[in-house]
Amino acid sequence: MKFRTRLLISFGVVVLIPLLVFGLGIRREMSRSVTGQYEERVQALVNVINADIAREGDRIGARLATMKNSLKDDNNFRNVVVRGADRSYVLDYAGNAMRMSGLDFLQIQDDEGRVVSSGHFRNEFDRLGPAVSGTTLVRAATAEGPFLTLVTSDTVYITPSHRFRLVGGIAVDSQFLARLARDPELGVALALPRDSTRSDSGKLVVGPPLTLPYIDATDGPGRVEQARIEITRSSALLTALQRNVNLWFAAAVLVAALAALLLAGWLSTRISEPVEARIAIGDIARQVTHDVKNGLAPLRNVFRHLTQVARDKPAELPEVFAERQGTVESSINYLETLAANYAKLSPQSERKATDVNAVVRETIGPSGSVRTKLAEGLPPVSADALVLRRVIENLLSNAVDSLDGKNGSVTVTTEQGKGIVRIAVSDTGRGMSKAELDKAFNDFYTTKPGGTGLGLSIVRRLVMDSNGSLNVETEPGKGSTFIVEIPVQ
Amino acid sequence: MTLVLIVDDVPAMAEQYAYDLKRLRGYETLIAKSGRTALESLTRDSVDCVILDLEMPGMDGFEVLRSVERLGLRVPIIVYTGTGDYDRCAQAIRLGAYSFIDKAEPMERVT
Repeated sequence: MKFRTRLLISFGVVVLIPLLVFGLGIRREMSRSVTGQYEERVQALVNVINADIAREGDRIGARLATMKNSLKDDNNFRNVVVRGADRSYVLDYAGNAMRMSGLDFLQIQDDEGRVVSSGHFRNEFDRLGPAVSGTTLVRAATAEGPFLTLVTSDTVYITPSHRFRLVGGIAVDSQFLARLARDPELGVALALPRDSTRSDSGKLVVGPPLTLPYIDATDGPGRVEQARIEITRSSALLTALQRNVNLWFAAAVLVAALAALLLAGWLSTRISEPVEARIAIGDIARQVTHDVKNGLAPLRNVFRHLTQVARDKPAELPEVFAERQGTVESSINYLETLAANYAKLSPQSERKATDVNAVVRETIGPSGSVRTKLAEGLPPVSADALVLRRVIENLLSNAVDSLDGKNGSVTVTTEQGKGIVRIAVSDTGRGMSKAELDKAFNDFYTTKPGGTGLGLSIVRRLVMDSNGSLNVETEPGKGSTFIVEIPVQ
Repeated sequence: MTLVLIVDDVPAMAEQYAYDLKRLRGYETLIAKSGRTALESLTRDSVDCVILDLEMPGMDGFEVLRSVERLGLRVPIIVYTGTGDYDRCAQAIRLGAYSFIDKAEPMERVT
């Protein structure tokens, strides 16, 4: 992995992790804030509902108090109660009083709790009514069917020994519940014991439980249970809210990450260029030391030996010199080759309009061993003809070497691309593995015994100096294609 | 008779070692120009000692040391490097090399 890539990844990690942590923190705070606002609204609604129910109870109580005063002064009612006069007056009393007072439910119960008069259901006469104490929710029977009512009660003495209880209330229907729910995003619903008809799909119950005493008096006096008033909100609303939060969060992280990566890329390039240059110079220095020592060490040893012989046994000098002449020549040849290769590392190029096909033909010469497929009418490229020739020479030399002396073919192809001319040098030789390809362009990497490993490295530099690009397609055992692209003039 | 295998891709280096080992100690020598040839020689010939260059194309000296260890070959190996980087020599010792020498050292001292 290149130093620049490692630097980029490091920058990315260093920048992205705090960014992600920061982003997640913001998201959590946003969710907490939204939830907090919701809880405040729900609590406010709970307080309003409690106050509304208390107010409704007070209103009903006030009407019952008025009714109580009328009843105490009603001689007809007293006559019936005390003397057993016409009972139809009593039976109709509650109906008339209920209509007059604007109530929806009214029972007059005797001391034992039996209904002596019912305003909403005349036929309740003589049944046991609900024992109401304080504001209570009652499920009451009527001729049309049961209904829910919010009731309170009051006590009236017609005579000191004749005590009656007035139980009055207003209907609790959908309009009543709608009046309780003042917040358009929140709903109010009643949850009664043993009520299997409720359907709350898509609704979430929020807030603390609100309870009311409840009596089911549809079939007898019933017993006191607890009904719940539930505050609900739509789950779709919450989901949409969360989706919006997540969407904005993702967009913010994406934009920040892109900005961070761009910055990291810019910084890593700025930092890595000089560092990579120093690494490359260090590598080259080490390699130069190695190569020069390889050439000089044998020379030094031979010279030392010859000096020793000249001093101690001068007569043997010609014979020893002849024996060691080969080593000296071999070292000199090695150093000459080395010098020539290093000279190629700093080419002086002169770019001008160059005919690629002409350079290819000139490089290959009359040799029949290299095939060509040269496109006609290619535009001239901007390159130094000598540089281009050196590139093609190197690639051809590698291609021929890769055949390992076996049968195979080497082909040079030229064609026009978008703004470039493409030169491809293909062979059917040994090809390269992934590991070999990764190292192929490094200085001093070679698979040839005695090779300097500078060929492809030089090719790459020459192509890049010409503002071109160099790519390789290769497969072990099947061959390689080196593709050079040079911009047109 | 002591047989020394010299492994170096630069012919002049290998030749001068071979010549001086014969001249100074009377050792017989074999020359291998690559790591792969060296391994073939080690499995085929009765080599008493190896002088191994660490920097070679293809299979370098380190790979040769690893292969020798993997193949269970018991032979002392003296490595040398022309880079002047003795960390590489120390690394070679850790991989099983017997010792290391400098290319510039006089052969009298080496032998």
